[in-house]
Amino acid sequence: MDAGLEKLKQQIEVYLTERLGGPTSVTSMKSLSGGACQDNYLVDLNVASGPEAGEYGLVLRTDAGASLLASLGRPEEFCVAQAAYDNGVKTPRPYWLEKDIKAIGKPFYFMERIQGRATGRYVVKDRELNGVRKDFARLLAENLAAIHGVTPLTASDELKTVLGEPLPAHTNQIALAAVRDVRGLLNTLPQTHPALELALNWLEHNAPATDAPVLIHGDFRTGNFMVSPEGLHGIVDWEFAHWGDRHEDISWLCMRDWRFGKQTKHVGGFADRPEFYAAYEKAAGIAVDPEKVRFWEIMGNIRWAVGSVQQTERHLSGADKGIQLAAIGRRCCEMEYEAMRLIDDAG
Amino acid sequence: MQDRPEAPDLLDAVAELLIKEILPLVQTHGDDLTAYKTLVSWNMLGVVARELRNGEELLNDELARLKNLPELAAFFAKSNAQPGDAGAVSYRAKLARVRECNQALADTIREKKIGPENKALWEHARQTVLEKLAVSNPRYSTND
Repeated sequence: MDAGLEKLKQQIEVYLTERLGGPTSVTSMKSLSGGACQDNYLVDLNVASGPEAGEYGLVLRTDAGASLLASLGRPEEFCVAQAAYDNGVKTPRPYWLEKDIKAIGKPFYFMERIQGRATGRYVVKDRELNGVRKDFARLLAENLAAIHGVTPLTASDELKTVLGEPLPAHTNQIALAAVRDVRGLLNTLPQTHPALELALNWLEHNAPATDAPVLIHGDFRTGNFMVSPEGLHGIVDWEFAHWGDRHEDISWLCMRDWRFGKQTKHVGGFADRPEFYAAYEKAAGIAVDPEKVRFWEIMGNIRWAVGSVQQTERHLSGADKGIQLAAIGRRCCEMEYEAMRLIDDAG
Repeated sequence: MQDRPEAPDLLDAVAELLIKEILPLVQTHGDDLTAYKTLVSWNMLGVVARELRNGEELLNDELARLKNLPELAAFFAKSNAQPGDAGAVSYRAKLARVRECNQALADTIREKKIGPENKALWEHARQTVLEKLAVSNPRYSTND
């Protein structure tokens, strides 16, 4: 174990021993190559006594300083994950948030370590999932309905503080705000995208009303849920959560880029739309509007087109180097093509 | 002038090595992440080779279309006879010129709230996207 990791281990032991009211030892600890905005560690714990005594297999999530635009920090992410978990969403149970940087130098929390893998190609193609893949549409629809069951009307004060004031229901303000956000992001890019500007004007002109603002996961797609031959183990990655229109999450899962080569399976590369929509309607008690799905799918493609350029800029600026980031900028035109194709479909 | 092989042919040779020899070697080590990065690298060599082979012609097509757009008439009148507009200038100069044009075009589209109802502009934008796909992922648009 290197010196930095050893120090972090000791800090965690001291902190948890006090917080949990029982001698706590880290029995194993390993760094995970996490996302760009956080450092993650696998941590096994033994809490010898006190109200929370026991053995724990956890992931430690910490802030790593550089954060992506519009992504939540660890304290905010904890609050969202907690609300989702409490509303019955299958997601790793979050534990022990610490906002004060005194303990380890940055905010952190723990979450339950769950089974399964999330890689796109594994989810859509691996033969060992052939027995359970047919259940994914229903399982994800039920979980998405549970996520959307968290609303500004039922949220805790803390969650309302974290996510801010929602825009009003029964208006197109949520859709129009999303158009404004993407234009703002486009302004930060070094190259212009006439195709995206045209598409954004179409979106502005066709912005639908939102029935009611709900908790949006914000990155609900193949790659962000863990599965194994035993089924769905959990939805992960809450850092893009916000109040919004339910069709935003529904359409994001259906975007072409998340099909990982299973082109005819529009829902995440593993299911057909009617089956997924029906399962969502049954679980949520609210009808899916295909026109709204299309609107938000166009929006999603534009967002991800912008996102792909942002990823490449992280490589080009030297903030975060790598062939995958470098390559992704050349995929921007795939999402531009999809956005234009969907607009043509809308007639 | 450089000796043979030409640059795209050299890239093809490296791409062949990556996919036929390096990738299987990485896979036998069970390193999924490196295998994936190798595959992405192979793919990018194809992108660069296609850009070297067709990039300039595609750029000429785009510039020719841009010059005929009514939305850019004022732009071209104001900045007449830039080096990038003529035929015999460097690829780099043409790239810079097209970048300027696209900036002016994007600004106009946003300012005048132009959408798909402007069929000529919509088709120009689609053609430009297809030209980018022709380099980055030629199978994408035939695989709906």
